[in-house]
Order: sequence, then C-alpha cells, then structure tokens
Amino acid sequence: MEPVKIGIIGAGAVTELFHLPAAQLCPEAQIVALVDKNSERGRALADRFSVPHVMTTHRDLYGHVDGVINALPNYLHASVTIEFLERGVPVLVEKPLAVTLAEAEKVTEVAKTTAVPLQVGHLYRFCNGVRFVKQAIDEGWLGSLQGFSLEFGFVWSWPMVSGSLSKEQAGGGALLDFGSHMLDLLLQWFGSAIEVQYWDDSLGGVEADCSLSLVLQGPAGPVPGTVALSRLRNLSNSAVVIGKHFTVEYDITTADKVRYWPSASNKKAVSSISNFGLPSPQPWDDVCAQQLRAFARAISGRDPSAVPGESVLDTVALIDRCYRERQPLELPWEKPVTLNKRRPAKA
Amino acid sequence: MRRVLITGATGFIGGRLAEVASAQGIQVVALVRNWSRAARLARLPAIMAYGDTLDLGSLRQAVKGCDVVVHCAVDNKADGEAHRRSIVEGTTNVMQAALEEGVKRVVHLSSVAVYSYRAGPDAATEGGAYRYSGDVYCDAKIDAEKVALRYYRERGLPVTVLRPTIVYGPFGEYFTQYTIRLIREGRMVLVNGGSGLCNALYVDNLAEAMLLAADSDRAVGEVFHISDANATTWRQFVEGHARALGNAYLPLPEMATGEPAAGGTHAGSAGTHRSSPIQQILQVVRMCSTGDTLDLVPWLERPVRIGRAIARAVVPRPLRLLVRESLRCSATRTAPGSVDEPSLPPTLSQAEVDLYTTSVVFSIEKARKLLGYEPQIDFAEGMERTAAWIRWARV
Repeated sequence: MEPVKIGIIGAGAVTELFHLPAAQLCPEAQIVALVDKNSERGRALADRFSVPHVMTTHRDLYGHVDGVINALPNYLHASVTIEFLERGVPVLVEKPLAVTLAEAEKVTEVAKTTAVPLQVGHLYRFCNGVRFVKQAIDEGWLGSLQGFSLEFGFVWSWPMVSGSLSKEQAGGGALLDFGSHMLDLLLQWFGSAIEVQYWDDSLGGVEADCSLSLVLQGPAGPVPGTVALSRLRNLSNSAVVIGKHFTVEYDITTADKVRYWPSASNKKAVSSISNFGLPSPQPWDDVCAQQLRAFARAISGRDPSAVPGESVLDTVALIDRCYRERQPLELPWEKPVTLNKRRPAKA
Repeated sequence: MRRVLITGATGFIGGRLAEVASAQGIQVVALVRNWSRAARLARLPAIMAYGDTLDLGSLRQAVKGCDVVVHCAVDNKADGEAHRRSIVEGTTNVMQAALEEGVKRVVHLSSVAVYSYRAGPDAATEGGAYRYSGDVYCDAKIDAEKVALRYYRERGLPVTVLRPTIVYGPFGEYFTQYTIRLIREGRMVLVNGGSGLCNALYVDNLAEAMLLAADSDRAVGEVFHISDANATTWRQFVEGHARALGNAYLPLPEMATGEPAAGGTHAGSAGTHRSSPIQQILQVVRMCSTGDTLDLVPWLERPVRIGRAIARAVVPRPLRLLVRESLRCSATRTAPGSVDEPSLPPTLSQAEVDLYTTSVVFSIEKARKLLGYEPQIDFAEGMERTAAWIRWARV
C-alpha cells in the first residue's frame, strides 16, 4: 500500500517524542509537513526527522495531505479537528478529544455526519499490558472483582516547549492531561462510572495533584476504587485490580509489564503476558507506531477508526463531571493561618 | 501592593511566595524560564510570563504594570561561570527592568552566604563584612547584593535586601529533599555532634518577610537578616528530618572535626566517621542486596567479595537474581527506603564542614524593629508541616 501523506499540527514535545519517531517505524504513513507558529522550532524538528515541508498555519495543509495529527494545545483540539473533518480530512487528535463534554460531543457528531475517520490519541489502548488486564477481567479468572487502585504521578518534567499550562490553553491539569489516559483505561476495563468524588489542589489555575474515589460498573456488579494523579510527586505508577482469586498489577510506566498473584497471598509473581497470547516485550516506540498504523489504515479505508470519538465520550464526561463537582484537596502541610489570610491594608 | 513580578516563581522560595501572595489577593506575575518546572505554579491564578533574568527584553515585558518586584531567581542547575552569571547578571537585569518600569519596591533575595560558609562573629548583625571565599555561589551573592544596593544608591531604585538563613519546608530542594536523601543513603553525619547552629528558617516565615519588605516604607535601602525566632542546631534540624522518615535512621552517624568549632573557627576537613558495628553490618546487608560498594566498611570488603565470586561460580544466574531480589525486598522492608542510591562514604567538603560548625546566631532584631517581622511558625511547627509534606510527597 502507498503510504498515506500526513501533516502534523503542533511541533511540541508529544510530536517530537512520540509522533515523529513513530513515523519512522511505520512505512504505511509518511509525514509530509509539520505545522507550528514557531517556524524555527518546526524547521529544527523537520530537519531532524526528514519532514519535507514546514508551515506556520494549519490551513496551509488543505489539499496537500490525506490526514492530519492534531497535536496543538488542548483548547484547539476540538475546533481545528472540526475544520479538517468538515473538509473531509481524517484526524488523529491528541487526548483529550476536547476540554469539555459539549465540545467533544460536537466533534464526534461532525465525524459521524461527515463519515470522516476520527481517531483519538488514547495510546494506552494499544498497550499489551492494558489488553492483558482487560482480558483477565473479561475471562473471569481474577474472580469476582473486589476493588481497584490506580496511582500515576511523578515530579513533572514534561519538556513542554510552549506555555500551554495555563487554564485557558490547557483546560485542566493532571486530570485532563494524563488523567485522560488513566480514566480511559479504567473505563475500558470495567465499564461506566456509577459514582465519583473528586478532589484537587487547584487554587484558581490547573490542578497538579488530584484524587478520585470511584465506583465503576464491573461485569458482575459495582467495583469501588481510588485514583491518585500528580505532577508534584512520584507515586507507585501502577494500576491494581483485586479479584477474589487473583490480584493483577499493571506497571503504567511500561506498555506491557504485568504481574499477578493469588489474592490470599502477598507473593507477587511476575508473569509473561506472551503466555496469554499477547506479544511481550512491547517498547513504547512500537505502541506509538501501532497507533499511527491504525490511523493510516483508517485513512485508506481498510479499517474503521481504532479509537473513534464516541468511544472516549464516557471518559470526557467523567472528567467533565469531576471538574463540575470538584472539592478542594486537603494538603497535609497547609494550614489556614498561612494561606487564605488577607493582609491588613497598609496604613 | 497590587501586582508583583516574582522571578524564581517556579522554584522553592519564589513558588511559596507566589502561593502566599495569591492567597492574599495580590496579582502575581511569574517569570517562567522552564515550563517543565511550572506545574506547582500553574495551580494559581498567576500570570505566567515566559522569560529569563538573563534576557532583559523579557524582563521588561514581564514587569509592565507591576508595582513590586521580588527577585528570587538563581539557576542552580548551572555550574561555574553560568551559575555566577545567573546570579549577578540576572540581578543587574532585574534591577534595570524595575528601574525603567518605575516600580515602587524591589525586594532582592540575597543570603547569609554573603558572609561565606565560615561566617565570623561580626555576621551576627547586618553590618558584618562581606567575605569572599572563592565559592561561586557565595561570591556571586555578594556581587549581586552590591549591584542591587548600587541601584538604590546611584539610581534611586527603592531596593530592600533580605538575607535569609537555612530555608526549609515543603518542596524545599536543598535543605529538605537533599537532607532527606543523604539520610536515606546513610551519608548524613552530625559534625561535632550536630552542635553547630543551623539558623533554620521555615519558608512561610520568609514569604511573610518578603511581603512585609515589599510594603514597609522603612525598608527602602535596608538589608535584613531573616531567620526563625530561635537558632536551631544542626542536630535538631537533621534529626527532625530523620524522624519524618520514622525512626529507622536514628541515631545518625557522627563525625568529629580536628578542631573545635567555636567562634566560626575553621574546623578542618578531615573528620572521623563513627558508625556503630550494628550500623555497619546493616549497611553491608543493604549493599550485598544491591551490589553496592563496600567502602564504608573495609573490614568486611574482602569476605563479601569472595562470597560473591563463589556465588557467581556455583549458583545459576536466574537463582542468583532471585536471591538478590529477595534480599533487596528484605532490606527494603527492614529499613524502609534505605537503598535508593548506592551508598557512599560520608565525606564532607570544606564548605559543608564550615556550614555545619557555624556558631553565629543571625540576629533578626532589625527586621523585627523596622519591618514588624515576627516569625509565626517555630521549628517544631515548621518541621511538623515539612514532615507531613515529606510523607505526602513520598520523598
């Protein structure tokens, strides 16, 4: 098959670290143009990854590509995606699909009415570790599900090249950013959210740390669990699902590292997921290439979108609900005497 | 004060000041050089202005509309001349931009490091002499302070200089997280029983002092020591951090210097490290489980090396790995968090020995009198909050 011609909009960190390296492993797709308003940055990346054209506005791509990757700041995900869908150009849009549920529904609706492929960048759906846990839950060998816990956090060092951390541009913090991946992963495993309570540390900007208490609809009934996400501290970075018979733990920093053990024991046996029909090891580059390959196949009409817009609406809705019902996160070192104290006016 | 530009707002002290100022309804403009460090700052309703203190143009943009500038920025990742430039040239640019904008106050965050790490008795009050020592940071802080005061004297810029002591607290990098790391790695020692004076300063007390300095008319052109109300010893300070990890790391090893530390006297670099035999054996167990060096306990080095060689020869690799993993888990369980990094001998630099044997109490009487500064959080309370953060942040 002839490689499909793709333009990438946004030359930020995700493009540099994920999309451009993935293209080098994916003969089905050719990156023909890179768009960034910072032409110097765009040129530098284009030279490094042999991308022939650099542009400063996404509209320059019209008529020149078979599909686009929308890697712009979050607040531009919905509007720019809609622009291309309406022109019949397939879009792989980075997560989150949109910063609000209303926007996400609008994008999904446009994709549906235009019948143009829309794929959302929920990379974890291509991870064999995630698939393994899903399989374990569906096959029932974990036993009846007792609960789950997920922690993902690190002292943030994402090499952001533009100031899209503000509330206006980012739309949210840890929850909307990598929380989109984590909640999507849980909803893939269990099903929809029945109950949620949400706390975060925003003081008017975007949250860096948040906690959720959830009840999800498991295959055989409600499953309670907790989620902690942080840009300020290193957490366990694992997702644990406790079944009556077995407990399984997925290492979120990897694509495929899983271990499981009898729930009655605390021995953590490392399993090879290849024993369960899924290839391992699976490097991240391979995951990114799979995502791009799926998009190329959707563009060429060989497959439907691997991650269609409607499949992530539950995730967007859950995040939307969290922000609406937000409660302040209690930080154990803070006391009202130092914060929230208004200084007396100067005499 | 209505609108304050804070340089260094993605760091420990500037970040806390941004939080406290925002909570008091002050519009914060934060100079951001590295977005990767801005997650904590982004929680606030602050204006984040991309810029660098080495780029005067970006400072001119950022300071527009501000009535106060608080200058905290230092590039601690830079070495040598670049580190010095970030301090001295950065300060020059901040003063120049503030002058051009006509701000009402510039608070320059200096340090008691202007007295070097071997502060003499005259450093007890702000009239103490600058002391160049060859240390890049200390010498650059002197030169930066001189620049700031020259802008006051020669250009009429309303500058106030604060010289904080040992600043600690949540998110503290050097004196909180690094101290914790040294304790975990078995590299933190109490020099001369930890009797030297630390002069600890809880970060919220400093933030309060910076806001007072920004507001007080009596502060213009003045230099102030800022510290907690009581001068804490290094033993109190380090043991306070160790207790935040539980009691697994107590008692801490001690090191005696060649000379007494009284009066800021040079203490000599060669110290005698004392660990109990039980501590040494525990150290060996930890090292065996991780394959670390055995420099700390030379009397056990040879037997352990021979044991390892025999094990390599007769035990299949998968089994060796399994045993090693078990030992690692066991060591981690018995001494939580003890094996983060390879343990190294607790050698101290001359600067560290000087710092840990300081006998000067940095007086805050002038700040009390002119600024109305009164530290609200004592060491017990500050350490309690810091410990709560250490546990939360899983440092």
